[in-house]
Amino acid sequence: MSHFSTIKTKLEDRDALLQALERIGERPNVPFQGTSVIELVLLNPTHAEEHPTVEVEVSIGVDVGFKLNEKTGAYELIADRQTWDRDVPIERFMEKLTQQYARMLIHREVEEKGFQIEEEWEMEDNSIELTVSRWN
Amino acid sequence: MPKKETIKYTIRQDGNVTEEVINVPGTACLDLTEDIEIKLGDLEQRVFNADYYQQSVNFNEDITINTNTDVTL
Repeated sequence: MSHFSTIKTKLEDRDALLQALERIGERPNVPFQGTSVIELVLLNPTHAEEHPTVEVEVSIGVDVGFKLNEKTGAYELIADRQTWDRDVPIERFMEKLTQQYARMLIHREVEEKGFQIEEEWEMEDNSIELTVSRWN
Repeated sequence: MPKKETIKYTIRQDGNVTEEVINVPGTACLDLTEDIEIKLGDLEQRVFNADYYQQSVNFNEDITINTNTDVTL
């Protein structure tokens, strides 16, 4: 053994984000060619007459999306708690998404380095154990 | 002779990742994983095991010194 690293995952890679959304059963929309963003319509419960719009790079449905924060380089969830209708709370949704994002990114990167997947297990605590190896 | 390099990833329920590099001595283990770590996010913690410091040259020196000490006694 040589080292252990602990990494806090950030959603920075658009392709891995789109793959992860599909893995958790969502159908992400990305802008058509020529448009840079999609407008989400959010409800504003304190001012019902106002429906603010937010421009996002990736959307799922009409009121959930991901906006790239140019300062951090990471995609951030934009959603409306009033209209959130998925079967898990927003926080759990983000955990599931981030876990699949990390999984897709690791798969892609290790394969590029010539590693092969030896084992992949979903554990009782909902973590994923992934072992990769190569001969060098 | 080719050597088997293994990396074990634990992707926790919250999406954060623990990575364990096995059988890659010295700084080679960092070179191997550093760019994956950067792509994943922010490194929170890195803990080295003994063999990180045991690069082949140092390891041989250690053996020589210990042996001489034993002979003198």
